[in-house]
Amino acid sequence: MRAAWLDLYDAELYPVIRFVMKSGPASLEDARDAAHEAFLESWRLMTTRPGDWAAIRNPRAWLRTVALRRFRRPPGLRNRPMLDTCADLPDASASSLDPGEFTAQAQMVLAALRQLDLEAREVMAYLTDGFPAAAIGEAMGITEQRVRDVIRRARAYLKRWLAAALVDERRQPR
Amino acid sequence: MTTSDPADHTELTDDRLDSLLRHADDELLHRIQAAVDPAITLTAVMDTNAVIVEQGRPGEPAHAEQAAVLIMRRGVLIQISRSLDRALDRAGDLARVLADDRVGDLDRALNRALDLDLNRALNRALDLDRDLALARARTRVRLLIPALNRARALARDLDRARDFVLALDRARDFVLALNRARDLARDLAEREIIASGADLSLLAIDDVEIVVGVVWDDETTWPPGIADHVRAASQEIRPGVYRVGGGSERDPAEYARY
Repeated sequence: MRAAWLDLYDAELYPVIRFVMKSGPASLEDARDAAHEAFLESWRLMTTRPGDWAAIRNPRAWLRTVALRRFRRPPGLRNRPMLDTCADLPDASASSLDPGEFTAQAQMVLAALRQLDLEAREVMAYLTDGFPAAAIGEAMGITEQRVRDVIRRARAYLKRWLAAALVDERRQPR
Repeated sequence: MTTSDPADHTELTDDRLDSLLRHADDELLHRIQAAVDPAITLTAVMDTNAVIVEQGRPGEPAHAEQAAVLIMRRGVLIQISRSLDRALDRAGDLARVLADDRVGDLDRALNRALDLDLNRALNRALDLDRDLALARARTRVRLLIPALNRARALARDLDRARDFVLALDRARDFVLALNRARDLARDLAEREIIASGADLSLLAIDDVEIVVGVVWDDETTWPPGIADHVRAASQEIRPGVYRVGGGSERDPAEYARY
C-alpha cells in the first residue's frame, strides 16, 4: 500500500498544486502548502486507518477536494511544517502575471479562468485534469446534471472572453 | 444572426478553446515542476508523521519511522554539503587570485588616488581648462590631456579595487555557509540512528555512505538495490545486531570530512 501511495504522490503532487492554483485561485506557495496538507492527511489515513484509505474510490479526486478545502479554510492556527521557499508565481489577485514567466497566451487563459465564479473554476479545473462529469459531481457534492450545466456556461463564457482578448492583442501596437 | 468579420471573431471554436486550455495547463505544470522539489515535500510529510510517532502511539516502535526520516535528511544534507564543498573550492581559487601581487599594486593605486598629486593634477587640469578657455593656447592643451588621463587611470584603479573588495566579501560568505553546513552535518552525523525492525525498503538510497553508522538487526528491511552492500559493509556489534561501517572503517562523523 505504501508503494501505491508513493506512486500516487509522484503522479499527483504537481497536478494537485496546479488544481488548487486554478480553483482557488491561489499563489504557488499557498497551493503547494495546501497540497502538502492533503498528502499529509492521506499518509496519516493510510498508516493509521488503512481500511478507510483503501475504501476511497477516487484518491485523485479526494486529494484535490482535501487540498482545496485546506486552502479555503479560514485563517487561523495552522500546523504547517516549514518548507523551503521556492520561486513563487505572482499572487492570483494581481491584474496580470509576470510576462517573463508565461507566454502571453497562457496569461490570457489564466486571466480568463479567474473571471469564472468559484464553482465554475473548480468544475473546469477537475475537467481539465481529466475527470468525467459524474466524478466531478461526486467530488463536489452536486448532481452530474449541474456539472454539465456549469461546464456549458463556463465554456461559452471562456470562448467569448478569449475571442475578445485575442482580438485586442492583435490590435496592440508592436 | 448577424454575420461577423472573419478577422474579428465573436467566439472561439470548441477545438480552439480546448487547445488554449491545454497549453495553459501545460505551461502552468512546467512552472510548478521547476519551482517545487517533490523530495522536500515528501520529507516534510514523513517528518511531520515522525513527530506524530514521537508523540506516542501504542504498539509502534518510535524509532522505526524516525530512522527513515533521519536517513532521508542525511541524504539531502550530504548533497548540500557537497555543493558547498565545491563552492568553497571556488572561493579558495578566488582567494589565491586575490593574494597575489596585484592586490599590492591596487593598494598602491588606492594610495595614489588619495595622494595630493591627484588633487594637484586635477586642480592643474581645471586651471589649464580655464586658461584654455581664455587663451586657447595649444601648449596648454598638451599639458591638460596627460593630467586628465592620469585622473581617468586612477579612477579605473579605484573601480577595480572595489570589485576585489566585493569578491572578498562573497568569498567570506561562501566560507561562512560551508562552516554552518559542516556544523549541521557533524551534529546529525554524531546522532546514532537505530533502524532495528524498520522497513526501509521504499527509501531511494543508492549510496551506502548515507547510512554509515546506522544500527540495524535481522528484522530490518533495506531497499533491494543496496541491501547486499549494506550487509557487506556492516559489523555485528551484538548477536543479531549490526552497525554499518564506512568501508574503510570511518567514523560516521567523518563523512563531514572537511
